[in-house]
Amino acid sequence: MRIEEFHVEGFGRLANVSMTDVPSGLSIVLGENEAGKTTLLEFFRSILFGLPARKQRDFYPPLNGGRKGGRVVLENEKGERIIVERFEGKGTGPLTVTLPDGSQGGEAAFRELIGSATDELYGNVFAFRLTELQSFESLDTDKVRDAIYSAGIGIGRRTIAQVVQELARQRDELFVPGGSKPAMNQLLNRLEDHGRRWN
Amino acid sequence: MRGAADFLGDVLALIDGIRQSPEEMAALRGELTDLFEHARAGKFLIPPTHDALRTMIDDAESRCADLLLEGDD
Repeated sequence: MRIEEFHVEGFGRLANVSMTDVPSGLSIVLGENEAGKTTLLEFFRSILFGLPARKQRDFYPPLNGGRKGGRVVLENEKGERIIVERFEGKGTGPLTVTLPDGSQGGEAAFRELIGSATDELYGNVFAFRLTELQSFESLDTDKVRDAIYSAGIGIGRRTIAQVVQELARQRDELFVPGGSKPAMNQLLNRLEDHGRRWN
Repeated sequence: MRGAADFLGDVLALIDGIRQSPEEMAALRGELTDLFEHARAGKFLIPPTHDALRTMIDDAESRCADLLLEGDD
């Protein structure tokens, strides 16, 4: 699924900003400081996953007019269009999803479309800011690998690190060179005991 | 699942690659030397045959898949 089109009605400094035919593959948004690049990033995050339920009014108020919110048009793997609209309102802002067959749904229909993706996953993997990227650099290789691979699993709830840790635990329960408690080490001790008795 | 474009699909494809590659099978056998060539344990153990090694791979594959899928609804 990819973003094909968007319309910002009002969000922070952005008002009545649209783009259609966003090309597939990599798109780079260039702009001076304070041009609204991070605001656009937050716009996508907010439309897809909701505005903060609390202090919603203080979150990117529409400085240049318009109703806070807008529309994101997604294209699924079949090339069909899905229109996602969210505007400021109750809770995280009411969401309207227009499916390829023209039927409309709310949050539940959208959650079904995006499967296991969550706001956190989207924020950490697809939409991180410069400061978050800098903090990412401080993670060690295993954590980076874990974060990237976990995003690609799309199933289950364990991270790769947890799976590796569990496999290592199961291995160490069987045999550890120089160990005494694992099952095979205990069998080895008993075998050697018996051997000594028979000799 | 085996052909899926996700991490589990990659794991299963990688394990299939090990089954079909004599070099990978030899490398796997090397990973087991800690046990089968252990100064004390090695005296009581027979190095695994090719079929036994394949059975171990099947078991490892099931364990990996189970752990990766655990918690999936």
